[in-house]
Amino acid sequence: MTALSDIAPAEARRMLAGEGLSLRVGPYAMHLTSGVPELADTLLRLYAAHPVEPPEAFHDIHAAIGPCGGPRRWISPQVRFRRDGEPLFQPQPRAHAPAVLEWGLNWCFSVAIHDHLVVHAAVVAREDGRAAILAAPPGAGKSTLCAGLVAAGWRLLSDELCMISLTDGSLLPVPRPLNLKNRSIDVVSARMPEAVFGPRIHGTSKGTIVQMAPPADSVRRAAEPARAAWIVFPRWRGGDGGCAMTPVGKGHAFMRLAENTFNYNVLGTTAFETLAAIIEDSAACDFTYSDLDDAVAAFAAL
Amino acid sequence: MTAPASARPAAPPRLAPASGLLWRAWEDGTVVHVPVTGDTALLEPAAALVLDALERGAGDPAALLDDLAPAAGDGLDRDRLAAWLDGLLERLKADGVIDEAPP
Repeated sequence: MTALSDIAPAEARRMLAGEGLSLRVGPYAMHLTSGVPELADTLLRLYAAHPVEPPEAFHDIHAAIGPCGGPRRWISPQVRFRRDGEPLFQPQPRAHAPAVLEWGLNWCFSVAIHDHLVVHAAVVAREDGRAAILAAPPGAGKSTLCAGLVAAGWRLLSDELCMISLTDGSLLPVPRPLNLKNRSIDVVSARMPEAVFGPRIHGTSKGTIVQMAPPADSVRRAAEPARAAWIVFPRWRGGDGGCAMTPVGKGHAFMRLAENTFNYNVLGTTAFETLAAIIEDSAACDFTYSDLDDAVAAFAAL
Repeated sequence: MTAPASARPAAPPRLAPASGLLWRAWEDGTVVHVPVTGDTALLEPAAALVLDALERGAGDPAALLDDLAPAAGDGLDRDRLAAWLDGLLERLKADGVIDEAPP
């Protein structure tokens, strides 16, 4: 297996700007092209451990980020994300390109993948293969908690997308960069100084963003599924409120998880059966926290 | 002697779970999925009792009442149970969880 870091940076940049780079993320292959040199530098750092696919491989996702044209390119340059050649979303400042790429890829995974149940949630797993699904709306502290657990030794399956097998209910890893926002950037970077981070991206619609590369071990083990054991609905609260886990009934947990499942309506009865099995096998709880150390300790006690 | 057919009391409609209905009963509620509409809803826990009874063949309100009465215990009189059941059946019909067919 060739990892992206095995390819000479100049060659990887040339491929990205030309015929494209094929990267494997868990069960999926992505074909990426970009005419934005700064994005190449970030991509090579954040996806260094990911396997490179041969160009003739089948690609589940074809994504591109390119500069926008027009006179604006000399005044305030912008980039645009494309899927299968079609532009998606409004153009964004060129400096936001790494964030635009990840948001675009999230969109691709959430709308294009239907061979798994795709839930908007982070997933981390213990060494014994038992996993916690962290489902929360943006801004609830999901990525911060996820990063804190990864720093404490939990394996990262995903920071954003929980992929559930429709055949056996296992959780498939799709390890991609973690998106850290605003206050969580300093909290996590202080905790994981050895981690690989992308540049600080200021002024995005979500504030300041820094992306953190998934641990190389998580990427290497991307073919190793996990079993859901806990469904946690986290919420960060400021101040010094400690942390609290409150059990959630399985019926309510089902509905909340279904609301966060992108392709629930597409998969219909299969989605219902798959989600019901996950709920049946897992303990569900609301989790509020104000300190990451307390939160990590609470998860250790699960 | 039998009464003419027109004078007989109308038979109650047959009740059945919606076509292909999927449901799971948990302590805090019954989650139902209606494939025809694609809707999923969290209903009161007792909905599971009715769906279970319907699947076992209790196909009209009277039969349902007979089925549920033993589980309701001695403390609840039949009229109160019937009123509660009527309300629940109306809600299940409104949500498309059970269908009503001619007898």
